[in-house]
Amino acid sequence: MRGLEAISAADGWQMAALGISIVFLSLVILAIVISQLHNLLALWEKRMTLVPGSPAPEVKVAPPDETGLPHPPVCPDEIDAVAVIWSPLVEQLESPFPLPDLYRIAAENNFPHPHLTINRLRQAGKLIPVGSGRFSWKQA
Amino acid sequence: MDQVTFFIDATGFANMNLPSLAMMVIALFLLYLGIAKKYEPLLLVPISFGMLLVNFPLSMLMGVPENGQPGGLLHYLYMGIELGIYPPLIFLGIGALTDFSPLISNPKTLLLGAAAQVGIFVTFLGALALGFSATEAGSIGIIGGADGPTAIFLASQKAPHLLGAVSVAAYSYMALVPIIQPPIMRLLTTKEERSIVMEQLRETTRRERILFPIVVILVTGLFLPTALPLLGMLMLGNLFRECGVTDRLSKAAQNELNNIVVIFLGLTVGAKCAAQYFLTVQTIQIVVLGLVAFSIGTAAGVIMGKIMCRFTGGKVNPLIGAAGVSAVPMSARVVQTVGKEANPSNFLLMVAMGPNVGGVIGSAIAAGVFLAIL
Repeated sequence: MRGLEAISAADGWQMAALGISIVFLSLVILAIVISQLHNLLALWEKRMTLVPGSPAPEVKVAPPDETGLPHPPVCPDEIDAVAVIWSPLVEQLESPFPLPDLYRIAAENNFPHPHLTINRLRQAGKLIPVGSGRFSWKQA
Repeated sequence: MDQVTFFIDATGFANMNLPSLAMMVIALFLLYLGIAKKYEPLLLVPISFGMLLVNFPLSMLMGVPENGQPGGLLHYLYMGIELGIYPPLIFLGIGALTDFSPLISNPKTLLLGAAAQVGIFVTFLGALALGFSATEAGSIGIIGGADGPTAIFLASQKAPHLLGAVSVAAYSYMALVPIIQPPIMRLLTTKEERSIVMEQLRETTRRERILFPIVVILVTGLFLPTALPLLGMLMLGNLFRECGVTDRLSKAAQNELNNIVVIFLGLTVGAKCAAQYFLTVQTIQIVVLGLVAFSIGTAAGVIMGKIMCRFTGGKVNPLIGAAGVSAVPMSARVVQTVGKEANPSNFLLMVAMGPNVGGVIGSAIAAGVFLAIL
């Protein structure tokens, strides 16, 4: 049996419609839950203040970051200054490298706003595309 | 003299036949593509070598145990596929390697990952129309997910006789993403749409990244338990990566375990490509249907991207929909390349990683659907 007859005989239309619906439904639910994740976490952080009369939550002071490369708490505006700070990070990668690798080690070293900064470095020509999604670093 | 005759009869030369010879030529060609052209070499090299080994005349590598004699090496390694062990282990490694931050910071891109799975179900119908059984049609349709381990997992469970053709087609199209996707993306979008610069993603916190795999598995596991072998391992690998207390396990899943399983998986998938199973009209149909599935998936993702672009007042670049097929990170790179052609200052890579990893979850769910209903 072939053609539309074969599809109907195997309940293909119903199965395809059901399959697409389940995939969409589960991913929509997942998207909604994930989109509320940071709100739930914020609520959890503030849980003590939500209960009237409860003591203020203990504020933990983060220990100084003794791991990773030195970096300022915020990114400088001057792109050349940013490049100087990022240079040791790039040296850890074998050139040419894909940007996700640079993003990963920047995040691991707690560099501020790695995604935005990579974008700025790329636009400023500090990261040079060499094809196949890989980049090299323009030395100062 | 009898011994010489016996020896000659026992050589490959005396037992060579045309189908086996053809398969050996195909295997050598795939080996060439893997090594010289670098098309998915980590998989194509072991797959094509397995294909070569099993097509030697009198090859006992896939032999089943009989008369008290043990079976061939690849027969035992193949148990990992037959019992559904290797693909979930590969997913463990993928989870440990994947940063889900782009998806966490922009969860609506999951819709693009869902839309790109439409190709799977349309091709399922196409395969039914061509006379394949429902289980075979599901195993062929899943090629459209552009996710090799998922395709192998489903085919091994539902249509093991098609495993060779399905896996070769799946990995071929994954390697051909930069060739197949761009014309479809350009055809369905205007230059203005391709030039849209998207808002940069917000930073995600460590707590969000730790909670993500737990939330995903709670939602999808309750919704579709049949997807748990793949999604469970994917999320476990990601939890290893993000929780910060299992670095050794994360590294093992990313490297040693992943590499070992890739070798076993590749070799044994290739070993299923014996001439009698592979050189059939069905294989050609599967290769064509796989291309259809992949193209429709790409088109559906881009169309969903256009819809989102319309609803958000032009804030979504429709190109990122093409990354909804789960060829990670190849299709996200293609989005970046095509976007950059239209607007050289555009940087879509990280944004496209959202639908890209969403597509991995989407195709695993689609496989779970087929496992449940077929």
